[in-house]
Amino acid sequence: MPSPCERPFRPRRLTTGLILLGSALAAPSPAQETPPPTEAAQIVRSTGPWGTIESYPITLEPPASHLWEALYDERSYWNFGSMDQASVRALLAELGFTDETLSLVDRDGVWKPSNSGLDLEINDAIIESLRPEDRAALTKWLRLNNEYHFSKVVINLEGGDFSSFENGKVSPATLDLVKRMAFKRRNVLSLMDRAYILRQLGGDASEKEDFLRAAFATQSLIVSLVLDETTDLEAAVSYWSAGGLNREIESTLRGVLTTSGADRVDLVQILPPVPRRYLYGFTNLRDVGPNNTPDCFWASVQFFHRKASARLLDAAIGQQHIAGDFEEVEGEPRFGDLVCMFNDTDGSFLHSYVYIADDIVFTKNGASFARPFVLTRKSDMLSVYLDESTFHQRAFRRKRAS
Amino acid sequence: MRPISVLRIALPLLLTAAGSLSADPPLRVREVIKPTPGPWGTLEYYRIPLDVPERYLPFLTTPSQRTEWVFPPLGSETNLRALLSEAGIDPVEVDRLLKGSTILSGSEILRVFPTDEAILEMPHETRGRLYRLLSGYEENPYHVRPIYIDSDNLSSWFAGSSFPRTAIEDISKLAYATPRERGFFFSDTPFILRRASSTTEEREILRRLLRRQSLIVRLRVTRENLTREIGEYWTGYKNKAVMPLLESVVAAKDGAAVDIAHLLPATPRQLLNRFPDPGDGISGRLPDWFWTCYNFFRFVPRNVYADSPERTALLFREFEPTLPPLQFGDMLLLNSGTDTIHGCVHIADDIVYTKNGADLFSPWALMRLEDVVAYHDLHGDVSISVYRRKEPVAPPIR
Repeated sequence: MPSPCERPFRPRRLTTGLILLGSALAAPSPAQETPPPTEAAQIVRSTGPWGTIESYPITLEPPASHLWEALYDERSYWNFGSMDQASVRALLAELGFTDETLSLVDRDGVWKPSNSGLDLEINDAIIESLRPEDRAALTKWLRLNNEYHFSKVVINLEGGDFSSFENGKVSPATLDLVKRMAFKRRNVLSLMDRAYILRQLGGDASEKEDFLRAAFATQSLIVSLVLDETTDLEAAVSYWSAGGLNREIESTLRGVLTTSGADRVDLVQILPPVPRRYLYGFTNLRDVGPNNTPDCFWASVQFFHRKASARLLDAAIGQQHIAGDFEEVEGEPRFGDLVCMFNDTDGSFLHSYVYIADDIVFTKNGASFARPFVLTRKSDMLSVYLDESTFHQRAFRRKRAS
Repeated sequence: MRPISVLRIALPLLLTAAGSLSADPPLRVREVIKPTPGPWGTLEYYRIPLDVPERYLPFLTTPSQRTEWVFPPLGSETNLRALLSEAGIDPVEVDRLLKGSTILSGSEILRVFPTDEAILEMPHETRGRLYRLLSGYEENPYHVRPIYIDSDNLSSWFAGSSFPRTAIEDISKLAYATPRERGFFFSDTPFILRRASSTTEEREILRRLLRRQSLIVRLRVTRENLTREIGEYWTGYKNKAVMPLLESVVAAKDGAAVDIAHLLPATPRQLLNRFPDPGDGISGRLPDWFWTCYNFFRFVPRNVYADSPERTALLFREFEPTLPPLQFGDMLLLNSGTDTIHGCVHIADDIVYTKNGADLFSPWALMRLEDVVAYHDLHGDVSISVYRRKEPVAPPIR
């Protein structure tokens, strides 16, 4: 199996509503402001073999400590790998760039060889001449032909709108700048001119940090298991103990059920130790290797482990883990099933996640320090893969230790 | 440092008829407690039982059903009677305790096998004195570490288990008040086993007696009550931005109750309400209270224990003594005489994060400080000192 995906998260709007980070404190809501979203619009309840679960969305911002230095790099450039200058010039024309932009590239673009191949440094005039469709076309090409550079320059705005920048999270001028630079890739709202925006913010370090935190804000869910007089406790225990892999939850569920006024328990009390440790958290330096950082596969393959293992950072071991510790399953997924997504064209590994219940999954999208471990909706997670490529999924169930 | 005083509260031990003791769990026998709000915000909590994983039961050796009291090699019954009298037991009561008993005196120990009548009919006060005396001799494991029942309602304590009612009735007679008169101790595990009719039932009784209690604690947040101070209280030193999370919760669900497990650092969050795994002892031993306290803010735990040679040095190098008001993450040390007998971590209000033993059967739990003290205070003399980390383990998050 190829290395786990390094692909950045490309989310879309949550159907349940938007989260306005910081609005409660930074901007008390006067009458003329948009009213806060209603709870009814936020909370989703579903019943199935898992019992009844209730969830509502939250937004997680990366802490300042997780905004690594390279994110503040103000050099704007595109990388074209092994292509030569003439080929790139032809490619840009083929992608539909305007004559104005092509002329500016000819006049102001700086071609530089780098360790990653050919860089084209671009100035403000080139960037400002780009239309949204130019950005979308170039991004699509990078996504298919130079995924490394794609992952370095493209940020997908979670929720598919600008809510993480609004309500005082960044200044009105920065918000306007973000809106001008943003572009759509099908339903995904993206930025690829981070360096340009940072340059426009001049020496305002605080505003730059606020911009980056908002840009990497990640949607997640808080999920509770409802335990009331209608609950089939034995069925719930059976589902969440995952065939004996997560056995210690029974007394907790019984305890909640026998408490007056406690009609639900947060999933954090039910998850096994590793996902519980990382849920809503960000990559810690202690989990990072010299060449790899925790990503989707790292997060999902050791879902039932007692402790996270650095072994999961080693190269090309995915198949080893699956072959040894899992068995492929079909039919209805079960709590804790590992689901891997493979590209239809070449069979390459795209992404993996852990099925929780209903349409909720546990995942970490990409290896970025700025992306947390989350519970999220499967439909939202999958939607970011419905662009240039097609894929198929295979589910694997962890074997019980003998 | 001035020790914090711990309240002494006497509670009656109740066995309510309403509490079913069968396999059918009684519904709603516990309640959600809502303490007074503080700098931490508005909390609410309720008690949950933590049952020892079934796979741990084979590690237990089922004791003989015959109760045994072990004393040092006193040499004669006369010396034994003198010792009991010194412990404050009335001579008439001593006669009752020893009447019909079998005494085996050897060069290393003196063993007393009391009658069932002596065990069952012993007044609570006598039981407290005798068992406190026995707790001084490590050959009496059930007295050295009695089962602590932090509830005045046994029906509630055993709710949801298939514990035999006759055994519960025995416990209601045999439990005795803790020295702090908060909660009850129970030491007559061997006696209770006779209520079992099979080895399977014996194991089930042992398992239920090993049941521990923890709290599920929630922070109730609303648009009105969520302040920057609350976010700062919970941020502590940990590597996670708390305020954006709480703000996001409020925006989605005004008045939501957030499980405070989300607000704990990674290591305590991972372990909360879980028993140690045998694999945790692969380096030679299982985590104890100092390991738990020291590693509260550490992302990767360091294997240091209460009896590690470097414990004192670490304590004074990385912590400093402090006084209330307590902060999230403060280390509370329980001192008895000149010894530190336990430590736990302050969370909020009077709730602490604790691991009450170094064994496989002691989970990481949230408890009320009063219960932790009552659990460990075998002699009624515990005082508490507070230590606070000098420097963040990880940089504070803005």
